[in-house]
Amino acid sequence: MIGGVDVFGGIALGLSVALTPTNMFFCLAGCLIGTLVGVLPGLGPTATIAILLPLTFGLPPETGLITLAGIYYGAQYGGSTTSILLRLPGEASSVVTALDGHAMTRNGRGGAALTVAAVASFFAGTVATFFMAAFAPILSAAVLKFGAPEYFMLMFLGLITSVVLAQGSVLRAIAMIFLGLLFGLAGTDINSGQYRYDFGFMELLNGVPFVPLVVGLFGVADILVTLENAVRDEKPPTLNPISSLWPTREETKRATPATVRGTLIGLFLGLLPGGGALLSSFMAYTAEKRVSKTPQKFGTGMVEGVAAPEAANNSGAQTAFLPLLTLGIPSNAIMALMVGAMMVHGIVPGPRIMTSQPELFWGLIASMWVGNLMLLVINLPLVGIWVQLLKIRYQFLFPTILTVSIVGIYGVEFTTFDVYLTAIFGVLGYFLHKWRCEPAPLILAFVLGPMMEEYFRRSMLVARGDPMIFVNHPISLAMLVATVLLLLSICFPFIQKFRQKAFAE
Amino acid sequence: MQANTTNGRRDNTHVPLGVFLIAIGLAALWVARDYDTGTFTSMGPGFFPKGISGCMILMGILVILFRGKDLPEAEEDGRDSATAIARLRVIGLVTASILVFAATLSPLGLPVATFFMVTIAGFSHRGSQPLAILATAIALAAFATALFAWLLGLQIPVLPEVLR
Repeated sequence: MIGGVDVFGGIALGLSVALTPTNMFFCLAGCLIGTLVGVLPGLGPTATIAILLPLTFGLPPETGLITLAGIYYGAQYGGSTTSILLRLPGEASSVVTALDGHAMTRNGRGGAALTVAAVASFFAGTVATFFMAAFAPILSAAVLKFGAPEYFMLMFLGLITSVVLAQGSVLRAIAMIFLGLLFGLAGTDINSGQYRYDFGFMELLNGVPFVPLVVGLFGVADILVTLENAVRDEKPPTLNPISSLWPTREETKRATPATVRGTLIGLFLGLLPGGGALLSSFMAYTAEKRVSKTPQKFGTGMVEGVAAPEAANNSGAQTAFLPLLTLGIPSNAIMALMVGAMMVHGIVPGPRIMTSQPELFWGLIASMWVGNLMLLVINLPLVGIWVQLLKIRYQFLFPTILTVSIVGIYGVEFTTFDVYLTAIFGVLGYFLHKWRCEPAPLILAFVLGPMMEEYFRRSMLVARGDPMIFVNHPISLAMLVATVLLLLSICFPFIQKFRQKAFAE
Repeated sequence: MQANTTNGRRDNTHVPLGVFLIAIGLAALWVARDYDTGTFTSMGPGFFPKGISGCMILMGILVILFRGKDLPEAEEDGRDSATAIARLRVIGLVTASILVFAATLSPLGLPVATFFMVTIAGFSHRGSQPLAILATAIALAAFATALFAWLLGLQIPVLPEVLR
């Protein structure tokens, strides 16, 4: 018993939910779609989840979330397959796997690399599932003591961390956060009833609708960017015959500790805001190189370079759910989409989910393990089929994506207003890409913004307008200090680098 | 030497991005002009809008001042190889296809609207045969109707208005 919740009872309950025929079917469907998405380059998991979000609204909440989660971790598996066999990482988090994975294919060990990647992912997924089952109740119990100031500071810390960990320009990531916050302001102000940024549209009184925003920024913008670059896409890749799937004893011996290290790295990095699968796989690869006695051999087909990042991206992908399910705070853009999906079903993510919706909470966790097992069993035999799918031409692929996403958006609220909005956000997303801004912080801020404003104003109410409330509460103070340190850490090297350049001129 | 290489890489994204951010910030500030600001300790509905708008303008100015030096030393992958006309064609046709879908859905029904959308969007892909585009459009119109209207049972108009 931890925090009043029986972990083993919880897992049993979760399995009873996850193993119903309907949920098994949708879990499998999610995993297959996810793998497909992972295999196809240029179609990321964020865009896919955004596009398929409306299709899951008709399902019961736990089934819908199980499907979406399946897409998410299925994509991690699929991305590794094409990285290893063809050096075509379908997913950003599989980029590092391509280095040694494809080298192993060239050395005639491609089959073994696939097996190592799949088994390492499964191992990591299993550990992550039990990690979540064990820690979620503790975290939830601790979080129940949080008041408005703690929540505000936690979200603030989350936003800042996501900026620090973002790829590319920190300045532009901050600009995207403000843009997301601005979009989040539209609609009726809860405290005063004032309409803000409604531009006279009834449809905006409940705020900017979430699905058009994400489908526009990720789905439509992706299509625009890919179409513009797609001059050289009609070249079906050739596949070398796959060698034996069994790794040698020596490979197994080297891959095992690497898998364990990768899993641990993923477990912790997945928890960080802005972290998740991508950061985990890069860090795990770097760590392996550092631990290795022969770092110079990386890139020539080291089995550790496959096992560690694959384990890390899978465990990172899963533990990213922990802040969402316990704190109610999404740590990356995909988790923000999960919040959107929960909200549609009328579920408020947060510490109370475990007690008020135990089927959903434990069912989702158990389904991740079931899904990982399915992926292990179905993926290796299906490798040939997945690779064949790469031959689908973009000429047919993009109209299909467009149709599913646009009709799906209409299907959420049955208003063409949302469809027009999607077009606008699609063009915006295209230009943001051109201007080298990441849309992920924007989505995160869009989801967190209204909650932050609400908690901030509530804190002020509780403290009768004394801003010292953020300093007087010890948990809030600790988070404030962490935030300030993080901010300083980005400002200092940034300013120094800039000054260096300025002096050099 | 390093300074030379960074200066040698021209960044042409900071000016449009900066101007965009400033413009959005100013517009948001102007729209929010009548919202009650309140004070820091007892905020009105206008406090956050005005604060965030101000920060947007500040960000825009900073982006322009940094002149692209905030970007990591990225490898140039020749992304901007497309000509302006090719770009305009892609954005124009895809956006138009979505707008046409929205405009025709109610009067003409789902299959026809989907057919129009896919046909228009199809021409944004260079090297597509018109016949292939039409075939894709017909197939997707049937697919969308089957999936959304029948399988998922959503209340989407299928028949044109005159036939309903």
